[in-house]
Amino acid sequence: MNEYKDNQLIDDMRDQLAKLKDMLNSERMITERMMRRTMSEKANKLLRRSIFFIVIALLFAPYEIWAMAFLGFNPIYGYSAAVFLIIAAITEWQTCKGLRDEHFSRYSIVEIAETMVRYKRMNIRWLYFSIPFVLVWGGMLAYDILKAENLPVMIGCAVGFAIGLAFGVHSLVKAQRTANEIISATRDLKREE
Amino acid sequence: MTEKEQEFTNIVREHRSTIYSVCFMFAKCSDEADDLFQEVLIKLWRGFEGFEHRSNINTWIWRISLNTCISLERSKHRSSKLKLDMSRDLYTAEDSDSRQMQMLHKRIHRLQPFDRAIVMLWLENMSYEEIAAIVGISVKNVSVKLYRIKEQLKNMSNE
Repeated sequence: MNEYKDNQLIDDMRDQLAKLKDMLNSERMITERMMRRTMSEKANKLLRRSIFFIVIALLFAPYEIWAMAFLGFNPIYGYSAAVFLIIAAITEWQTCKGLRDEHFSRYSIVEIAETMVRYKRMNIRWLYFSIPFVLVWGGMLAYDILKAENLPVMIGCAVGFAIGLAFGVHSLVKAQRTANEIISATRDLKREE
Repeated sequence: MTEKEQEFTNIVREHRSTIYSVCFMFAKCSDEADDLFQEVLIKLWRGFEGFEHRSNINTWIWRISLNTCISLERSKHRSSKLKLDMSRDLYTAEDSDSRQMQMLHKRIHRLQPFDRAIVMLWLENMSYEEIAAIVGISVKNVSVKLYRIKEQLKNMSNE
């Protein structure tokens, strides 16, 4: 009799657990914190990338002045490149504003989406300035190198330009893709709301 | 959403009742259960990167869910609250189904955290071997613990 009672208790508990799972299966659960955490981790990646570029730009600014003088070019190349790099660092700083973790946990979904759209827009706007500058600066430098018929410097500059261009394009595409992923996550979250 | 994120979302959708039922048994109120649920999801997501489908996904989900709930129960550390959007509060609702859940919760919650994990797996009709693999103790230890848990539950029903 006692054994029957014990088994009944266990069966009841099993039924209750099964019922609980059925009830939960019919519930809609928004997993906001996890999605926020994922978005925040992605934004952190973008922030780290930006900080890396700022540090590189600031280190290369004095180096450009020294390198151009060392290679015997007109100092204007070194100074203009240094100014360009400082502007690049400031722009990058402005671009990555709002990507910090504490902002992401405080922002509403709409604010996160807006921050990412702004990030993407600033990245593209920077290209409107940087591409013409690099073309003019690089073109003038290439002209001077060709005029001086300095083959080793010519090869060095060509290789450096190709590596820099490939790295820059790859990094930009990756950053834009990450920003798109965050924007799409905000859309998913908004849809679930 | 990346392919990995999509896969993870599908797995969570499929197993959310398992995850939430574990959280339900370890929490004292719906806020705490929601918090635990989010914590478990974060742990699952972090572990999912390295999950290579060598072990059963169900076993893996049970293991992570139970370990997270046990360790949070011990540390009693809770981060900021973000609520899940559920149509009813299972801890306070008055309907007959919710009352049954509350009774089950009352029984299980009186057990020690580790015993709660074992009894939940046992109520899921898992074998002693499966329970041992999930909680990380020997099969013999599982049978000894289950015997004691059954005695405790019996005493509770006689009270």
